[in-house]
Formats: sequence, C-alpha cells, structure tokens
Amino acid sequence: MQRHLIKSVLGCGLAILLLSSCGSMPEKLEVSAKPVEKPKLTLPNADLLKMREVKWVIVTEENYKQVFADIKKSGRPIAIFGLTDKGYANLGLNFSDIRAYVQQQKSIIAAYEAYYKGADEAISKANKEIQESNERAKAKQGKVKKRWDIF
Amino acid sequence: MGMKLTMIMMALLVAMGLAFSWYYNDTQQRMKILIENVAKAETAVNLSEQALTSMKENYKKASEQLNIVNNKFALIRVQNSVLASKLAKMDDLGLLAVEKTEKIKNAVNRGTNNAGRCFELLSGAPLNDKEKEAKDAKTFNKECPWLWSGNTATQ
Repeated sequence: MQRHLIKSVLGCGLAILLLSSCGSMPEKLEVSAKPVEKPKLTLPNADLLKMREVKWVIVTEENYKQVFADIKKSGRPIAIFGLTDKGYANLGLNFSDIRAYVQQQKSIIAAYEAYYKGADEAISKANKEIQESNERAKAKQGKVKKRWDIF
Repeated sequence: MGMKLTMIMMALLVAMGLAFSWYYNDTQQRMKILIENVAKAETAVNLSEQALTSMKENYKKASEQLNIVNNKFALIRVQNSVLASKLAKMDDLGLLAVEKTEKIKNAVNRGTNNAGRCFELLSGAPLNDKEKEAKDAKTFNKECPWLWSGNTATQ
C-alpha cells in the first residue's frame, strides 16, 4: 500500500516534470510600426507670361505698294516674313494645340496635387489610428502583467 | 520504519511543492507572454486592415482623379477644335483677305492678341479691367471663352 503510494507520488512528479519540459519558453512577438515623416515639397509657381505684341499685315496685289510705303515710313527695313492663308491657318492651329497641351498639363498637375493632398490626409489618419492601436495594446499588456504577477 | 517513511513522504511533498511552485510560475510566465503575443498579433492585424483600407481609399481617389483628368481632356479637345471649325467655315481665307483686306487684318490681329492673352491667363496672370467687367464668356475673350469664371461653355 505504502509502496504503491510512493510509486504514485513519484510517478506523478515525474509526469509533471516531463510535461513541463516538453515546451520551451515562447518567444516574445515584436511588432514595429513607426511612421516615417515625409518632408513637404514646396515648389515655386511658374513665371507669368507676358506676350509681346504681334501685328499682322495682309499684303495683296492691290495694297503691296501702300504696305511697303508704311513700313518704310516706320523706319523698319522693307522685308516681310510672309505666310500664305494656309500657313497662317496652320500657325493658328499649332498655337491652339500648344494651348490645349498647356491646359492638359495643368489638369494633370492639379490631379496630382489633389491626389497627394488626399493621400497625405489618409496617411495622417492611418498613423493616428496606428498610434491609438499601439497604445491600446500597451494598456492591455499592462493589465495582463498585473493580473498574473502572483509570485 | 513508520517515522522514516513519514520523513521520506514529507521530503517528497516539499519537493513536489517546490516543483509545483516552479511549474506554476513557469506556466504563468508563458501565459503572460502568450497573452502579450495575442495583443500584439491583434495590433498587427489592425495595422494590416488599416493598410488595406488606406490602399482601397487611395485606389478610389486615383480612379476619381483619372476620371476628372479624362473629362477635362475631352473638354480641352472640344475647345481645341473650335478654331479648326472656325477656319473650316471660312471657305477660302486667302480670297476673303483679298476682298476685305482691312477687315480680315483687324480680325487676325484681334485674334492673335486674344490668343496671346489666353496664354497669359493660363500662366496665372491677374484679370484686367475689361476681363473683370465682362458679362459673358465672349466679351471676356473670344479665343478662350471657357476661361471666364462661371463659364461652362466650350464655345
């Protein structure tokens, strides 16, 4: 009877010891989420355009003498940089295309600006939430410590 | 014999007590770490969810901006075709220039000035008095009436 008791106690003790040795101490999980501050990009505005005066003269068979006389009177050398009606139309269309291109570039820049301003706000919001989440986790861990620290 | 046995039992009980105490502390330590890990894992899951939400929001914003730019481009293309259709309406600009030389010369110079002014306005130049007082888009600038504030027309 006594032997049986001793065997049981020793057996139980051995089983507990064996069981406790089965597992190793779990590793602490470390999560790092530190937001990185992005420096603000401040760029100067593009220079304002001030267009120079351009004066067109139409030279025809009827008025070329008058035109030449007017140029002579103005003191400029008598040389005309000419365009046909087709050339003039093409020049106008080219300028119109450049204007459209400038407008398109402006709308692209505006879209980038709107997108990145919105993204910055979203990042700030997410960073705030991450910070709050970390604080909540820390508070939870603090509570856990107090609850289990008996010995 | 009985005394010996009691002593052995006592020693065994003390050893068992100590073993239990160590086992208890060890288990509590593990539980503490595991609970901390759960909290950290929860945080990590939250972070991932937030990152996903943020990415979805950004994707939505990118799509919105893409739509805006596409709409603007379509409008700009319509605006850009205005001059082409004006010129197309004039069957022969050369003939018109021969017939109404002075009138066409004035129109061409006016148009050139207006077109130049459009570039100035696009670069951010402030409005002049005439532009400020303009009551409609055409009075504002015939070459780029769409730059008139409050104007949505393309022509």
